Amino acid sequence: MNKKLSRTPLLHTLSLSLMLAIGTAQAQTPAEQELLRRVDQLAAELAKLRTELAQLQQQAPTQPSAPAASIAALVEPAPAAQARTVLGGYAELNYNRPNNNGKDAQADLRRLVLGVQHRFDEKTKIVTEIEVEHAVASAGDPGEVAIEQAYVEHQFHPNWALRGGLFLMPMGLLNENHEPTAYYGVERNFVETAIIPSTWREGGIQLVGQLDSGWTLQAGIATGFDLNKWDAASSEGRESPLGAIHQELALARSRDLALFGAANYRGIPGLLLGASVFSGQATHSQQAASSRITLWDLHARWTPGRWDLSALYSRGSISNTAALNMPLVGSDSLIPARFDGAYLQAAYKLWEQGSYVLKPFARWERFNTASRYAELGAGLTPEASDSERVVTLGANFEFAPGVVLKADLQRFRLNKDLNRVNLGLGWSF
Amino acid sequence: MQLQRRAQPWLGTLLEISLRHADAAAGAAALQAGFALVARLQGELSRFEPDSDIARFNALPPGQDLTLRPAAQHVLAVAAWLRNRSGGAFDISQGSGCRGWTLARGRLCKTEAGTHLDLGGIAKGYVVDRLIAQLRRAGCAWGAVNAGGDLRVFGPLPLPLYLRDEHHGGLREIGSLADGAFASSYYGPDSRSRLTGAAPGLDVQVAVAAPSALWADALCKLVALGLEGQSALLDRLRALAWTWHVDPAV
Repeated sequence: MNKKLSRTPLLHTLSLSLMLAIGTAQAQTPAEQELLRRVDQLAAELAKLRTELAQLQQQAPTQPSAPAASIAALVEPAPAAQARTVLGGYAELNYNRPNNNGKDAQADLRRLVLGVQHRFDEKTKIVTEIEVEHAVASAGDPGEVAIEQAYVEHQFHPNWALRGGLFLMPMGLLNENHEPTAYYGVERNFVETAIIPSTWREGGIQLVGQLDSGWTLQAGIATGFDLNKWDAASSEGRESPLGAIHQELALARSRDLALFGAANYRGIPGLLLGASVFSGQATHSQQAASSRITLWDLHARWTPGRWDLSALYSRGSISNTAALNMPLVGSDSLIPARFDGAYLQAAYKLWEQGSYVLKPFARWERFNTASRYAELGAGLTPEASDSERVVTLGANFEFAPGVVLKADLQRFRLNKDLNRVNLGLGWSF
Repeated sequence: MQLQRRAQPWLGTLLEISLRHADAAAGAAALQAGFALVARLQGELSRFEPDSDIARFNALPPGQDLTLRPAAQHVLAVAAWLRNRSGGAFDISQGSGCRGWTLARGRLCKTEAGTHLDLGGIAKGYVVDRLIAQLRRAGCAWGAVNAGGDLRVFGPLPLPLYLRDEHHGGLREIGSLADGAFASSYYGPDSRSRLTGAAPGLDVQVAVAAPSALWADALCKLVALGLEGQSALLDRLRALAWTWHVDPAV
């Protein structure tokens, strides 16, 4: 895309030069002959450039597209020659082998996603993705089929667009860019799965702006979580409080809607700084007590030279949990009042030859899915959980554009039974 | 998935565990583990078990305290909460000293001589909740535990509810239960259940549905007493209650 845009002014310049030259084509002095020779040379170069441009435009729909951006779709006008309908997708196959419990080793087609993006005109398009997890989805199998995205985007201004439908929430570094080629490690990081419930999507309306200053602004109103789904007898809420109560627009309770906003700055080459917030009521008038869920994050990514450095902090809170938890006393998992997590990650492009790229990385994470509980009374208030800390060391090896092999080791500080070796294969197009 | 059921005499009643598991062998192991859990909890909570926390408390002289195991600590914390919010109507001392015990930092202290505790009005519900949690962790797709009228169910299949007609015999279906708890009790001249503080001649059957069996079990007593402020307490605990005042002549 950048190549096409950068050549456009050059073409204009050449065309103007040609027009001026033709105006003096009848002259025959030596100087004029030299001028005509140069005009001919420029015309030949122009024809060559036009040929190259046509070739680029023909190749554009089949070129590997940027992960997520191809499907999540940035706000930009469509060149007239771009295909109206684009098929995309990604997949990840993972192998996990616990160090101390080899019998629990598992291989899984974690997910396969197909996406279709169709552009009705230069301003309006739809983006859809359908996902199958764990290879087989049936009554007797663990898999599931889900729609990850299904929205319409209309660009009503060169910098602004509106989205409506089911879309990914603009939070953190991973949620909107969750393809296996877009992150390091076989598994997605814990902070952006246990705290930010990636892949997290809601139904609603979103305003998206890409300003010339480098800011991307997103805000909107959407469906939110449903605390009535909290299953205190299950461990799901301890693994991911919001993952246990998200609705994914499946007959979603929507008495209460949520507001969200995100701001990301890319004005300095190689640097991304961003923040986001989501907040909404979550009991939908189904209980005597009402409760608000708020989640926010700060994130940064810096890619100086061969380095790729990331940092993120996210915190969630659920209000009025004392009233909500009292009826659940006696169960395993009460609703936490607060949960949070952070990670630091460094990757380095160690080796590159042709399409082969090797990027070792290291990641440190700390997360706590129940860092505080509301006071219920003596003996009834659950103890806050200890924070888990995970160190991941590994490498991504890209052997073709959009195809990646991954391997890593993970060490857990609290639950050492989870220490494991992971291998993965992923692709995105 | 086939239904697997076992019943054994525990907690002074017949305790039945039913489950459905994709792996029948794992289901059988879950049943076995379930009754092992019941045996352990009865050993910690029953006043008839000499080594239980409750029996050890009952044997304490006034002014002494003891460290509780987690199960007793949890049940007594709930009992204290209910005692305070019911003005002492929820009384696990059964009149021997409603305020004769205190619980602080996991230690149970006897503050009045003669105070004896009996968790018969709350412990069965707690045990049912623990069993359900264990069945969930064992990977059961569906499960139900019934401890003599203290019932809890999880999973996709609702369970029909029947109440025994205490005066005329027989059963009557009153609905079905899914992902919740239900407890019923009969308090009358000939009933096994005793209700401290009840009016003379009380003859009532009560039922409570709640998110957990612990609350459903405990609230039965308060509902039978017809306490003032009972509705607010039920709302707070997301519970529903039914009462049948029995007229034997009808």
